[in-house]
Amino acid sequence: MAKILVIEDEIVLRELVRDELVKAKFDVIEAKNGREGWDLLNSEKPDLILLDLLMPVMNGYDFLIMMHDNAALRDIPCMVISNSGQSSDMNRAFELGAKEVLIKAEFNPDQVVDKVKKLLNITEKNS
Amino acid sequence: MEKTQKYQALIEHISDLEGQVTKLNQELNVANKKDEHNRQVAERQQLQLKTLQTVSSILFANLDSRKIFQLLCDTLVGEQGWSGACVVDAKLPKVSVPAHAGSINAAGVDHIKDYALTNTYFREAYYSNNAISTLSDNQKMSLSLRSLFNAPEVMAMPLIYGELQFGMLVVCGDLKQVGNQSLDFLAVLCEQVARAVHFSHNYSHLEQQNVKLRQLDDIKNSFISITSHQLRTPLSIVKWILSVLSTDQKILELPEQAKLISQAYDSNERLIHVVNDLLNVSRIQEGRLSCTLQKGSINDVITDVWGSTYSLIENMGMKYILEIEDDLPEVGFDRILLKEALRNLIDNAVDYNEEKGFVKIKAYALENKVYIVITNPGPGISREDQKKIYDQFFRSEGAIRQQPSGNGLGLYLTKAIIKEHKGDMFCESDCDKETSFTITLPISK
Repeated sequence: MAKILVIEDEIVLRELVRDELVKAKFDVIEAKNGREGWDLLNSEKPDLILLDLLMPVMNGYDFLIMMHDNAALRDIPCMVISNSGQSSDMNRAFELGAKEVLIKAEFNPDQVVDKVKKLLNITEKNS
Repeated sequence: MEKTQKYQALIEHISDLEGQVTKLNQELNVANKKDEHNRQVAERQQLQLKTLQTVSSILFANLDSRKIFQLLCDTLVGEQGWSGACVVDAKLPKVSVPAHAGSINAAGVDHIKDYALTNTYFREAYYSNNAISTLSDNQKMSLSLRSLFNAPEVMAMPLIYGELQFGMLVVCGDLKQVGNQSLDFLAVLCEQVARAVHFSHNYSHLEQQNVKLRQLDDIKNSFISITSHQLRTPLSIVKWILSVLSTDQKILELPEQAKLISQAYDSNERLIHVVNDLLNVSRIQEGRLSCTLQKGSINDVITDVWGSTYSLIENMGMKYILEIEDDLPEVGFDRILLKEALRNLIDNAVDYNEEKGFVKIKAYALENKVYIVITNPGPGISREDQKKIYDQFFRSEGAIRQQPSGNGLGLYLTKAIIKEHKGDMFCESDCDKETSFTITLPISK
């Protein structure tokens, strides 16, 4: 089954979304900041990344920049989940290569999982 | 015979003209001689005008008052023939060197600083904003000035603009070299300089304020970003936990507990919504609401909003009626902001409803617009109040009675959002009648 990398510094949110993904029969690997996420991305090569923006050590923007500098990794779909809400922040995430940007406060975890499924289906249809 | 006569007449005529030319030439010579004097006067005035132009053009491009005074002194010495010039400024601190040029050197400047204002005549002129010169009838004053400035002729002119005095210009020299210099010319020059110095002071004040304002703006922007994140994070945590609990098998078997969880979820949703409103309002007040319009169909947005308000309406015991046309034509919209706008209208529809009432959302396309209409029964809005409902913080008496804890921002914000969408918004209602709020959005071409 598809492997999802969840990069989120808030433990509760990370565990809630992990549990929903596991319920939906996904394999889940977790990271608590961009640096850890980057290491796991390289070692595990997940099928999709759920990425928070504001995190310590390395934030989501820098993660996106590094990901898209790398030809082997840039095609892995990345869904940003953030709480910033300002259009400028969201647009920046899109410009840096995010396929989807969601505001955590607007979606329930099961809706996030639905969006993950939708994004992966699209990718499968394309490939 | 005729030809000869005509020829003769022509010769005479030419002769006449020659006579006139000679006469005119003579008159011209006389006039030229008179002109010489006028020419010299005009030359003098030309020089003064040139000085004015030089000084003016640099004056207003220069915003440093110290440089302006120096320019004045340099020009008077360099172009007008004075041997020395300086600006005496009583307000200047001891360590600052006042502007000076020509024979008034640094030592001279020190002397002037120490003694000028101890001289009765100079001091009186300085503090009453009057010009003085050695050309006056007052012999004693002339002598006093000559000795004070150690020069045969001295003129001093105040630098004033309106009621503000910036100092006193002092020029020294030999009048034979300077020519019949008038105090009037100096007065015009000094007025220009004082005006420029006044502007330069205003400019530096404005620049300082500008820097402070920009710093405040940056602080405000980071405050909004950080607050936004810090407020929404715990709200998201509560939202997600309650969401997971509400679908938990064990909880679903306990209807009372399930209802409590659902109500807690709704309450948390409202808080999220209030936080959104406050953050958006603070952004509008800066004069901008960052709105990115993207082409698309709003069917999804309406479905999302319905999804997030469904349980709220059910828990209130109200009916939720949807009449949405499929495949609405594309419009330009900002997903987050349009959802906020619709959410505001639905919240209002729920708050100002009647016992076991309903909320209806209708969406359709007509001519070149997409219409979204939200309708509900209830106390209605009077014609009078309809004029004020879009004002920030306005709450009608009826509204306060029914919902004491509203903040009066919902419609203000919604209107601002719809305006950014190049759309329109209007209300149909009256006391104790059904209320309808309609949003129209232009269809993308």
